[in-house]
Amino acid sequence: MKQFISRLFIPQESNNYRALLLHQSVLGLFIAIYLLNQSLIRSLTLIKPGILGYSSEITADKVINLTNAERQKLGLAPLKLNASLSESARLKAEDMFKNNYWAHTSPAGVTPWDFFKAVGYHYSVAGENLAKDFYDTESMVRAWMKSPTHRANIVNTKYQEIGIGVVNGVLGGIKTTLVVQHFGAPLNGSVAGSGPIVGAEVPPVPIVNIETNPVPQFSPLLISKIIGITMFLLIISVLLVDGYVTLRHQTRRLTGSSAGHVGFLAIILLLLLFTRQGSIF
Amino acid sequence: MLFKEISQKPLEYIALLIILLTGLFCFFIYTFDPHSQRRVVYATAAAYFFWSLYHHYRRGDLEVSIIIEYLLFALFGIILITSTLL
Repeated sequence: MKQFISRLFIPQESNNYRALLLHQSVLGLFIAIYLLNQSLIRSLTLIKPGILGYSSEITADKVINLTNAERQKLGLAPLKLNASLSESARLKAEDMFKNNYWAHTSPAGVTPWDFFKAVGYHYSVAGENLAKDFYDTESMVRAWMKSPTHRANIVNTKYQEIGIGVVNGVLGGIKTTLVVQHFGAPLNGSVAGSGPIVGAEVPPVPIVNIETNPVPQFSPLLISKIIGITMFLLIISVLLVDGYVTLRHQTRRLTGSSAGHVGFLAIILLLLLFTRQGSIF
Repeated sequence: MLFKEISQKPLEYIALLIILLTGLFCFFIYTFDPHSQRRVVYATAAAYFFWSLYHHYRRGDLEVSIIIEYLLFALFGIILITSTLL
């Protein structure tokens, strides 16, 4: 056993002076294991929808407060919460879960403006921001602010009111939290629904759960990410050990450049470790 | 040991560093455009592969086994990023 482990990590005569973990067949095996893991996760989400998913701490109050904080940084007036806009946002999120899509316009051609009309909100201007798979509100609002089109909605001077829909459900077989932000300015100042309340003092808007089960703690992407990071760390470590032993023993052999491989793998590792969570639309 | 490798052909490794950093930079530039990010990943992996061909050709040890080794690394990187992040 000890000898086998040594062959896995340390170049020696028995492994043709190349750590076994860096042999082409083992690299191919790593790829196969990773692809198998991806297939299993996809199969699991199809067979048992909702068994995997994101756990989210997002609340509508925080979304409104952070949105208004961004506006106030630019000296803009805060948006007022409108119950009709919150209702249209909630309907939009529920429609995405019900019809299994992630877009501003549904596959049946239903646009965001149809939801505004459905709740009787007559607007002069209106807008919509979408987000999913975020764990916390701060990251989500930060992602919107980094996107020019979403930011344009948040800091639009024409908007006066806002509604937030935070709905938990199953999308594409995976449990997630969808957040819909609806913006608007009422036509001629007449707004259907209850009167507006200033963002900083809004009463809590309930989070709707389409599924009654609590959202689980592990996401499929997180599982894939952890497996990928583990594999890459292992390969980088073995490349470093392999390079060190080869240099010490002055071994000459026909292999790729360890420095080149480590550089490429390090970049991939950086992307895996530091890329954003969630997605916006 | 990596430094010894790099010191033998510093310009080639600087070229590789530029390729990889450009890929990293472009990936973050297109943060909200998964289609462009996917293209950036493909292009970076392809550039890494072609760099390896040039590097080993110059070293005089360009063999099929080395080409396959780089292909596997490039493929692994593409699969991991596209299936996990995009």
